[in-house]
Amino acid sequence: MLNKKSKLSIQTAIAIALLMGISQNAFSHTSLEIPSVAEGVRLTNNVVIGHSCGEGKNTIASSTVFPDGVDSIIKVNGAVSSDTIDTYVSNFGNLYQKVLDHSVFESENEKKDASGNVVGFWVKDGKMPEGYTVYLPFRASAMLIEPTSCARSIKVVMGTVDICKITPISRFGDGIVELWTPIVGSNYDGKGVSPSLTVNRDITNNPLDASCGSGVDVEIIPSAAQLNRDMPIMNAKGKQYWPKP
Amino acid sequence: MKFSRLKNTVITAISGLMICQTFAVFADNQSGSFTTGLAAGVDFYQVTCFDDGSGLPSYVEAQVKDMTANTSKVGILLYKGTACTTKQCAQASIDTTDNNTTYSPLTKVSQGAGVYNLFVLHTAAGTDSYDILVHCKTASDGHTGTSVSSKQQQ
Amino acid sequence: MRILRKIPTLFTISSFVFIVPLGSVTADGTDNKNAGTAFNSLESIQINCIINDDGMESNLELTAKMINMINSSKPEERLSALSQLAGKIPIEPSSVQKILQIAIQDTDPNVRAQAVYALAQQKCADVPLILEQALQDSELSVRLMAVDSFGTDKFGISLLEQALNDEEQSVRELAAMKLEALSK
Repeated sequence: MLNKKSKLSIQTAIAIALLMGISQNAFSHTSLEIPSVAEGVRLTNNVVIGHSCGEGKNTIASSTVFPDGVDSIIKVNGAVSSDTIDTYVSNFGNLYQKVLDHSVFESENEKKDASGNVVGFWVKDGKMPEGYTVYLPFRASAMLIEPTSCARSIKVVMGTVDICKITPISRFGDGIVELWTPIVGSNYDGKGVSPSLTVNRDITNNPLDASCGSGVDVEIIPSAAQLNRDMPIMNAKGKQYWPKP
Repeated sequence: MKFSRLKNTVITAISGLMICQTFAVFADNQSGSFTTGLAAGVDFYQVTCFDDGSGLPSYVEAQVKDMTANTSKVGILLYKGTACTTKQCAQASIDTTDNNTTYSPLTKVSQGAGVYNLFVLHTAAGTDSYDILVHCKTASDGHTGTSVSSKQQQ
Repeated sequence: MRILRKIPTLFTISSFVFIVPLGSVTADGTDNKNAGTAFNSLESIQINCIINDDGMESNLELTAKMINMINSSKPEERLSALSQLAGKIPIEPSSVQKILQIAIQDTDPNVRAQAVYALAQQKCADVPLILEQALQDSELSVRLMAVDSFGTDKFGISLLEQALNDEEQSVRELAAMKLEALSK
């Protein structure tokens, strides 16, 4: 029969195990440190690389893409919509800037679209061994939810690839890359689990119209075309560094 | 028209700082040019004003510098809202001297927080380059949250 | 890139000579613009421009600053020097010629374009021929500046009429606008 001390020890052990499990799972995949924010608020955030590509593997580079709002996939309450993001967001575009940081990776740069808006960033020339966690800082500017819309939240879905070996796309696989990307038919389709930032409507200062009821949840997801165009890492001379052409 | 682009360079810690010092005197400094050269070309930006902790935005002020010496002169039109009786919704400013040393007169639209539309135009055909200074400010003239997104480049 | 050519005698406008690269264009040619590769139509031009300084006293400090700027590795600094040169600034006439010579051979088309305009403002005798050559450049910005700088004399009008056939709408548009203004 278990005495009180044993029970306590077991309870403690279970609690510790649970906590360890939770803390490991919190960053077991690449995600954002802060997953949600109120509208109208600027935020410094981090893409958190929770682990490398497996035992003995080092993450040597990473590439992140934000949806550009031009041909992005819009979902309303989970269903694909033909609406554009302007229906729900007053100022979508150029909302994210990389914060310069060379603590792990020596080289980095932003990716920009044809209009000069930032649509992603990359880091390389560094090494994150398995078992470590790395933070890649960026700043998210204030997003404003369109007052006339019924959006109560906007989930900005990103795509991030953690790279352990520089290969062509045809050689992607375990131990080579970790694809934290939405499944949209791109060359970088991954696990369907990817970093995202949810912007919540400020109900006090930007109330929902009565006709909206409780409102709708909107997602904006990079299109396959955008991921194919913006995910690669280009070197200083404009040549593609990753994936290997 | 496109932003004047910094080439995709490998940014090291030292050169990154140098680039910041050389090119970005102000965080709300926006460069661009009319690459199509068409007289009817319009570049369009959205300027978002928000409270970044410095206070509620009251107005936006902007001015433009025409960086190309030629017949064509560059100007801006700043606009927000439709309640224009007590406070103007739209103001314009042109840089009449395009010797790249001075900005146009400051233009100001006071329509509070939110999204302002900023249009850049030129008076004749030409591949004019320009530089815009734009700031969101509080009622006490303090700088507050400002972000810019490019919507159209001609 | 800087090409220095020492020419021992002065050229007058009637004896002005420029070297046309092989495979280049005639006055109404179109080949090089359609080549799909960058072509600096001004690359081999030697400027001989006796600049009328209007009796303005040269500012040596400004002259040195302008020379530094035109030799900068940053295109925006080179552009800035040339846009200031397009106005009336008190720098040494010989330095103006030197600066413009460097600038028309710049690999950056925007710098070359600004050089064309700055040169036209100096009102040198060889400007019309240089502008005619600039109209053959592969870069839109250079051709637009050439059209912008054409004079209102017979030669200028003939160049404007030539520009009406340019492949770029903005060049045709500017030429048409100038011709229309002249006809009023």
